[in-house]
Amino acid sequence: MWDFLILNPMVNLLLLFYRLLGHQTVLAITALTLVVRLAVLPLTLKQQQAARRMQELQPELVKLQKQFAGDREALARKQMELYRQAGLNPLGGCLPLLIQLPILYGLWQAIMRTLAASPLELVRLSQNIYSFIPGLDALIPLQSRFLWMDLGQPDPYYVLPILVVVTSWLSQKILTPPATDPRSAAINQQMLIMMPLMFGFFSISFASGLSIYFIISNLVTILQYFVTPKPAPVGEVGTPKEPERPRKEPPPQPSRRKSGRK
Amino acid sequence: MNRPLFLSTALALTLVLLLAGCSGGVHPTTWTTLMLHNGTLYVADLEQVRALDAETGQQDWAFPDPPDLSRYGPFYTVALLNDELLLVTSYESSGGLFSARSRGVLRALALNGGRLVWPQPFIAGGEFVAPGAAGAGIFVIGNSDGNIYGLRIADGTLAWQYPTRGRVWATPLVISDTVYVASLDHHLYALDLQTGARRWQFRAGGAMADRPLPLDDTLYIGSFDRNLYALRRADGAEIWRFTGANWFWGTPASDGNRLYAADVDGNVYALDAATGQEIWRSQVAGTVRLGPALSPDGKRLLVASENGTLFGLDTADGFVLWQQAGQGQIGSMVIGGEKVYVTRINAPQRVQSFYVENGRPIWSYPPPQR
Repeated sequence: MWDFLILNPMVNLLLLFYRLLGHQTVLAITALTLVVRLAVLPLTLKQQQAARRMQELQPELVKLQKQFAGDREALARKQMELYRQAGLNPLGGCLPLLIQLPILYGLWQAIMRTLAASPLELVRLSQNIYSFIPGLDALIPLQSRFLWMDLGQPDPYYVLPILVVVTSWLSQKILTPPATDPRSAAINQQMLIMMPLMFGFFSISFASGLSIYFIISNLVTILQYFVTPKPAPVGEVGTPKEPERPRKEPPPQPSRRKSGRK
Repeated sequence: MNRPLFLSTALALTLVLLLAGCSGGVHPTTWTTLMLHNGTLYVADLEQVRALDAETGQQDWAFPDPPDLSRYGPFYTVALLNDELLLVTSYESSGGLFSARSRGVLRALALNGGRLVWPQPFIAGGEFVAPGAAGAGIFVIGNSDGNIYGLRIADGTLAWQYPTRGRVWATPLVISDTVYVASLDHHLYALDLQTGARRWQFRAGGAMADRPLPLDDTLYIGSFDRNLYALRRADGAEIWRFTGANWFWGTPASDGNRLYAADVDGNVYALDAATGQEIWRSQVAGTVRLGPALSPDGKRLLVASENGTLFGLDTADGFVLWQQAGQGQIGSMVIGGEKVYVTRINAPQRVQSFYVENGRPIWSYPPPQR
C-alpha cells in the first residue's frame, strides 16, 4: 500500500524529471523536492500558522499554569476556554504535520531508492517502476556522477555535509519561535545544535543525493519563511512581550498584563 | 544537564545511531557467492571465506580465523583459478567514523588452507559485486568504479584497465583470447584478454548486470530494457531478441536447445535458443534476480527468489514441482550432481544444501541452534 500510494508515484516522477531534464540527477532531485514541497505547502502554512498562534497564547498559558497550579481540572478547563476564545484547536497544528511527514519521508525514500547505489537496492527499484510509461527502464541506473561526487555515495570532501549543517541550522534558527521560558529556551538551543549535526551526520553516512535533497529542502523552508507573513514579535527569554491579540479575542484582564512581565 | 535536555540528546543520538546502521553486525550491500570444486564449497560468507565439505557442511578452513572485520571483509565473492588459487573480494572501510572510505579489495588465497598468496591485495575505488574470471594468466574483474580490470594472476599487478560509463556488476566471460563483460552503461564489451583492447561492443536498451551465456557461436544476455538478446559472438550483431514482462538480470541457463530465463517479476521462460520463440512461461512468487540453474539431467530448473524461496520447476512445462522457503535472500546457487548449494544473506543460516529432485534440505551452515 505504501509503495502504491507514496513511493511508486514519487520514484516514477523522479524518473520522468530525470528524462525531461537531460539526465541530470541533481536537477531531477531538485525538481521533485520543489514539486512535493509545493504540494504540501498549504499544509505547511497551516501548521506554521497554528504553531504561531499557539506561541502567541504561550504567556497566557503560563499565567494560567501558575494561577491554577494546584487544580489540574480547572487548569484544563481554562486552557480550553482560552483556546476557544482564540479560535484555536490545540491539536490543529498536528494534523497537517501528520499528513506531511509520510509524504516527506516518501520523498526521502524515493530518492534513496532511485539512486540505488548498491545491487540490493537496485533490485528493489525494479518493483517500483511503472511499466505503462515507456522508456523508464532504460534510464536505470541514473547518472550518478556530479562534479567530484558519486551521488550514490557520501561526499568524500564533506562539502555537501557542511552545506547541510549550515542550511539546517539556518532553517531551524529562523523557524524556531523565541521561547517564553528558560526551559523551552534551553531545549530550543539544544535542538538548534543537535538537529543540524544529526542531518550532517546523515549526510556523511548516506548517499550524497540525499544531501542534495536536504539542502534544497532547507532552502525552500528558508525562502518560504521570507515570503510568508512573519510571526508576531515576542520578547527575550523569560520576559515575553505582550502578545498580539487575535482580533475576535476579548481584551485581556489587567492582572494578566502584570504577570506577563517579570 | 536537566531531564528534558538529557532526553532530547539521548533521543537524537539513538536516532542517529539507528539510522546510520551502527547497531552492530554486517549490513550487506550485495549478495554472497560460492564455488564448488572437488567436493569442497568455497564460500564468501561476509565475515570469512570458508572451505566447507559439500557432503556434510563441515568447515575445513576459514580466512581470517578468527573473523576480524576491522581488518578484513565483509567478503562477497570468490573465484577459483587453476585449481590452486581462490580470488576473494571484500568491501572494506578505512578511517574513522567521520572519515570512513570504502573500497573494493581483491586478495588471492591458497586453495589449501587459505594462506594469502599475493604480496599486496589489489584495491579498486568501488565495490566488487561479482566474481572475476581468468584465462591465459590474466584475471578479469569488474568494479563499481566503472572499470574492468585485467590483473596478472602471478602477483596481482595490473595488466590493463578498461573504463566504462557505468558500474560493472557482471562476472566476465572468458573464451579463448577474448573476455566479454557487461556494464550498467547498457553495453556488452568484447575485449582482448591480454591487452584490454576493445574488439566490439553491443548497446542494449538498458543496463546489463550479469554474465552472458555462451552457446556455440552465440551469446545470450538479458537487459533491464526487458529484452533477452541473442548476439553473434564474433562481432556482437543481434540475432534475435525476446521481450519479457520486466528486467532480465541473471544469466540464462541452457541445455543446448532451449534457453531458460527469469525476469525480476518472477516470470520464468523457456525459449527456443535458435529462434527465441517462447515454448512455455511459468511464474514463481517474489522478485527473481539470480539466473536459473539447470540440473545435470536437464529435468529440473531451479529458480531462487529474493524473498528466500527456492523453486524446483519441471523443464517440460514449467510446472512448479516444489518450493522451499527460507530466511534471507539467496545470493548464489550452484548445482553439483543431485544437490544444490545456496548462499544467503540477512539470515542465520548462510550456506545451505538441498536435493534438486524434491527440495529437501540436507544441511545448513552454521547448523541451526537446537
